[in-house]
Amino acid sequence: MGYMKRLLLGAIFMMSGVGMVIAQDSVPEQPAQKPLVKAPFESGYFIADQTVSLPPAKTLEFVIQHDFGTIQQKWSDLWGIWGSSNIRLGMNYTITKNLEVGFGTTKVKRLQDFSLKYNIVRQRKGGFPLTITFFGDVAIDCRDKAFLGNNKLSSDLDYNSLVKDTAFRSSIKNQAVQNDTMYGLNYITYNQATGLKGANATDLSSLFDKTFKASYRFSYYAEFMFARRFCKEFSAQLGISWVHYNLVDMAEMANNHANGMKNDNISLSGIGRLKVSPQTSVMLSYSQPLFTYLNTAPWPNMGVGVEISTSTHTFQIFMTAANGLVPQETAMYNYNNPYNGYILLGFNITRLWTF
Amino acid sequence: MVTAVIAVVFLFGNAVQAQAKAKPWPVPDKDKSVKAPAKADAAAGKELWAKHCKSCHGSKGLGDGPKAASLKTNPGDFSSAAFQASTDGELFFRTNVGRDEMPAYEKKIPEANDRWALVAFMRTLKK
Repeated sequence: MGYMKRLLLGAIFMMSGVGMVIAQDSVPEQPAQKPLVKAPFESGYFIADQTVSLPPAKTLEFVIQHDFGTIQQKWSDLWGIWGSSNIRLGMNYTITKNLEVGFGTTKVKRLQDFSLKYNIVRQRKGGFPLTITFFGDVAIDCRDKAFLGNNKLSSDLDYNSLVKDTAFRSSIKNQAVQNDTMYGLNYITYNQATGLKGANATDLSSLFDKTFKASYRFSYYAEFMFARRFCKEFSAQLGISWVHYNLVDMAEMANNHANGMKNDNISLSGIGRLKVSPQTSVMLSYSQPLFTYLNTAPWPNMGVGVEISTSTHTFQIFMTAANGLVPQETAMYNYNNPYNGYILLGFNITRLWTF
Repeated sequence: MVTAVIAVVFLFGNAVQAQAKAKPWPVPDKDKSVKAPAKADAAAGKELWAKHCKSCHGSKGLGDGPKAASLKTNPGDFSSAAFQASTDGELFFRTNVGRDEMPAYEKKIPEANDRWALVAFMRTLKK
């Protein structure tokens, strides 16, 4: 996919949210509307998912999301509590009662994310049966470029001038031709290059610098969520989401390109909340990416947890599979197979300040 | 001697932290006479109470919630005759605007119907 096309996709995605904002704001308030049903969820966060809910207008929200390591090592790392973790700190602000913007920073991949959430319509007693909300974000991978640009070496690079080692030059050109004829690819993977005859650090570094693009750092996520509060105790939500990474991990590509990782994916998700006391709820979530690569990943994500909510705080503690804390990571890079017990302990804490 | 100093420090500390009784909270006349809507839903108010009020005011409004002891001002007893003598308009106004440690709920609970539901629930706390 071309560079311009990728940027255009991002712009369309962002504009689609803004377009809805304009469209909604221009609709005058209907007189004598049916009363609103209370928000179906206590927080905009729900294990690893988003919900349709927004805090009241002019509210600042601070969120801490933390995932421990998977429980696979059992007691040797205290079921993941001493293992490698992921953490995200975020701030959201509801500009109007329908519109929230946010920013967050995440440990894994050093992701910096900017988000927008827009409540399109709310459930009303005896009126519209659902609350519908759009959520979108852009995340920027801020790791050193050595982690990013080295996965894809274009076939049309000037290997004659870039590669000094003659053996490597010859083998890389041959591999490029082979990739093109066998798989229809116009690039070779960095992993392939490192394994070729004559491969050396100087030439690989030179190739890498020529192939890196700043746009590789960007990924996008958009989701429409449909929720209903069925009664005081039970609410449920369905969501459909689209995710796009400008650069996907070509090192994961199998020889069979048909199963190689793609830049886009679509996921379906469902979450449910059952209140067991006025402030405590049981949470269940499931999300299913529709397309997988290498015939397996990304694995579906599932979660079960407990939420305790007060006027200004929400605390959620849960077991889930994915350790990505921005939604595109869960939709595209969940390598934890929950069916094989790759699950982890996590928690979310939110704090609200109303101005 | 050391024991005596510790005792004095503790006594002094307690004196400083003694919880004040709430001062009078006058409400403008126009707000005092505002009437509650007929459909104010005490059951919905109970749910909001659990989320927004219970931590200070306690589940029965006795001012004995888990955060009550750390407040500078005693949250008061909502079951008392003195509290229940307030008009609906007064309770609604105080809920909306807050004062000192008591937050203003006009923005935290944006729908007026919901805040009226809270007032309806406060009426159920009467002994």
